[in-house]
Formats: sequence, structure tokens, C-alpha cells
Amino acid sequence: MRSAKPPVLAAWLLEHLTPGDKHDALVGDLLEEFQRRRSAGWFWRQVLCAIPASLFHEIRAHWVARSVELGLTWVWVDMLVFHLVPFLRARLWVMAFEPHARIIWRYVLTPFSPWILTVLPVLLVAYLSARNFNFLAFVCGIVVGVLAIAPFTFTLGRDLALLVALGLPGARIMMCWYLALIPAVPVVVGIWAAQLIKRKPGAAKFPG
Amino acid sequence: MRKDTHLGEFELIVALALLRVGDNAYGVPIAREIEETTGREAGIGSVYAALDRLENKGFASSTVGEPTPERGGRAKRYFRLTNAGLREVRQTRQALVALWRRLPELQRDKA
Repeated sequence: MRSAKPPVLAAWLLEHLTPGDKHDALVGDLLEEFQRRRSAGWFWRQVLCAIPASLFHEIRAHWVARSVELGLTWVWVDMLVFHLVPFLRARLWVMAFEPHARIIWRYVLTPFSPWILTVLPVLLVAYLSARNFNFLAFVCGIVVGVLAIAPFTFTLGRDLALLVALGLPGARIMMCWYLALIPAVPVVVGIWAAQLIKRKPGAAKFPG
Repeated sequence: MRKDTHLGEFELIVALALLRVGDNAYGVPIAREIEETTGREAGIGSVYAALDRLENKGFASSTVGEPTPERGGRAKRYFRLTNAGLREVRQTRQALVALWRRLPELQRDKA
């Protein structure tokens, strides 16, 4: 028997994206077969085949619950992106005559939208893999990530805003990248925390 | 025929592999049996999805075994065909054999 570990990313995907009653047995079977004679390519193929098969089965078996979850998520996205954010913007627009308030509106509240759009897909994955996903650890990770990058975010946003205002070439593109990538940092910290602190403390890890 | 009480093609293959493997039937030997017999690579995830469907239809039942270290501490799940499953496999076989017999093109090939 080989002692090699299976590909880390494939193992992570298998662990978190295969819901259902047979989850442990499926993961154990793949590990057993991989350690016995199979290649990393085989393991990847099996994982990529197992994820849609088990997700499809899960949705088919519990279609009412999954439909409600997807519906609620959709309503949530719609409410936050198309109602709450414009509402907050409108309120702040009243204060927009003050230069400081304008800066807050443009460069602090505007990143709120990408935050929502980045976090929501992760929450959707959390719904679908709720069996293993530690939601509390994920939220704590998000909060820690936000606190960690908040000072950096503010100063960088202010400097980029200044460069955009001065009309420096490429400043707008840098601002777009900034708005798109900065929210990913707390999300990554959140996923890492959820992965680190499993919901079931006794759950076995991959061997090796 | 009632809805969802018949065997699909892959379900029939898995049910037959289940019978061939016998008492020690869990994901790995079932997938291996399908590969060796049919020459088709069977994904273990697909095998489990088919086994789930068989269980939901009442054609198979499962029991959890003991966890082992080489499986990362995860238990095996052993499957067996129920009496209803066995009956359905027999009926499917009869239906398929009857269909094969009524194909004149195949009769000519045989002759």
C-alpha cells in the first residue's frame, strides 16, 4: 500500500462538495483505492465525477429544501444588491455636498457591492455542503479578515481615489482591481477558518 | 408500470455487480467488478449515486462496517440486494431476453 497523500485541492473539494448520507463511505472508498494503486489523475477524475453526481442526487432527493434555500438566496441577493445598497447610497447622497461624505460614499460604501457578490457564492456552497461547513468559523474568519485589512483598505482606497482624481493613466483600472480583489481576502480567511475548525471535532482527516 | 420502480441501465449493471461480489459488496469492489466485467471505467461516485437510487426504490439495503486506518478512519458501507431488488432484476432480464428474441436482424446474424 502506498503512503502518498491524495491531491490536496481535490481532497478538499471532495470533503466539502459531496453532501449526502454516503459521504464518509464514498470518501473512504476513494482514499482506499487511491492508496492501493491509483494515480493523482485518477483521483481528480473520480472527484470531478463524484461532485456533480452527489450534488445532483442531493438536490433530487431533497428538492423542496434545496429549492427553498436557492429561492431565499436569490431573494437575499436581489434585496441587498438592488434595494438596500441603492437605498443607502440615496441616503448618503444627501450628505454628498460635504467633501468627506462624498469620499465615504464613493470609496467606502461602493466596495460593499463586490463584498456581497463575493461572499454569496461561498454561502451558497456552504448551503450545499452544510454537513461539513462550519458556518460560525466562516463568519468569524470573515470578521477577522475585514478587521485585518480595514486600515490598509482605507489608505489604499484613498490614495487610489486621489490618483483617479488626478487623471493618472491606469488609475481607474487599478481601482477596479482593488474593488474586485480586496473582498476576496476576508473570504479566503473565512474559508480557511471553516476548513481548520470542522463542525464535528471527531471527524477524521485525510491520512498521510 | 409505476414511476421510478424500474431499473435504469446503470442501476441494472450495479445490481448485477452487487450480486456477483456477494457479501463483501461496498463501493470499491463493485466498481472494480464493473470495470473487469464490462471494460468500462465506473466512477465510484456514480456507483454510489446508483446505489442510492436502488436503496430509495427499495431494491438494495446497506449496513455500516467498522472504520479502518487506510480509509482515513472512515467506515465502509456494505450493500446487498433486497428480495424486491432480486425480483426486479429477474423481471428485467426476462423483458430484455424477450426483446432480443424478437429482433429479426439479429436472428439473421446468428444464422
